[in-house]
Amino acid sequence: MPAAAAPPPAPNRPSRTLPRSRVTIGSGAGAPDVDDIEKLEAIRDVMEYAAHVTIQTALAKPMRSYRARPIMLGVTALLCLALTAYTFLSEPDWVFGPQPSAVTAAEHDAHLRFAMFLAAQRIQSMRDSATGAAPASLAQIGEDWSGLQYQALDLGEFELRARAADGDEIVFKSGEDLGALVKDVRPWLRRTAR
Amino acid sequence: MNDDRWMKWLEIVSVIVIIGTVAALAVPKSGEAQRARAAQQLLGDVESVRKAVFRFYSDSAYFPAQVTGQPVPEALRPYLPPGFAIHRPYGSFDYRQWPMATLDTTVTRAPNVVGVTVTVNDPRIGAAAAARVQGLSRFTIGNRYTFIFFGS
Repeated sequence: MPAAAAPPPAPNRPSRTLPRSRVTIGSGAGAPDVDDIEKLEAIRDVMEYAAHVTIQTALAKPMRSYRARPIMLGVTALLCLALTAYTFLSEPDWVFGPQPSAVTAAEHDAHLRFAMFLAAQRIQSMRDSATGAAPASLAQIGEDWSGLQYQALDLGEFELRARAADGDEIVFKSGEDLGALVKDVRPWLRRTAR
Repeated sequence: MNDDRWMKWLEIVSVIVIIGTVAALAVPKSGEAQRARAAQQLLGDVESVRKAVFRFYSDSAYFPAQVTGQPVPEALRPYLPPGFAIHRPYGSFDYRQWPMATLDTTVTRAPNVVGVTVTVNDPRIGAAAAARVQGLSRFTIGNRYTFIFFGS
């Protein structure tokens, strides 16, 4: 059983916890003080870092420049220009959203006919339930759809006119078959995706 | 050397064009996203009116009549969500009810056609809503989008 080890000798340097007064190490004149040591350590750290950076910089490979890079970039830029031109000329849904003007002529006419149908129903309903006269205007009965023209005729008769997408005029005169006005309308009312 | 300079300029111009393209596409795409949100809100409001109309109907066994000068009839207001505004940032609502004087079974089997007309400020919002709507008939005249709840 070895004897208990002797306690280690006291350190030969001052503790960091010591007050930052000019503590001398060792004894006698000419011994370096703590501030000098810290300065030297700081200089050593800076020099080591500078050496490290210098070595890394020297070892770094220069960025390789490919001969084809400007050409590839140029081609990409041309493709981007073409994409931009296409986008702003054709205004696709995936960029600009659905276009109100993208409604087909058949859909436009179907919607117009249905509006005429509803307006005619209201005019007839009002005429039958009130004085027997057709209203003076569509605004009076809240049916002032744009593009729909109305004319009250004598004896409660009336006429509705609208311009179809192909330029033809759609005319409905009271007394005519309303069913014929909206014969093929129903599928267009349910149509959602274009 | 001169050739290198041209190549450098070509690269710079190319990068500017590519960045410009991304920006040029991002601006309308952002607008489209805003319109899509407004369209979604519009359809949500249409659904609120539709539910109110049918709650009214289940209480009263008839649909509220359209009143000239009132976008939404007073009788319907208690059935709408609290604080429901007729005028919205994207447009305004009009409750519609058309009595069928001439019942035509090829178009409607009901004595009424009931719906709501939304007059949109931006027709693109209406078009976005019309493209998204499901389960409702609708028709469009100008910037007025009408959604049919009943009767067609």
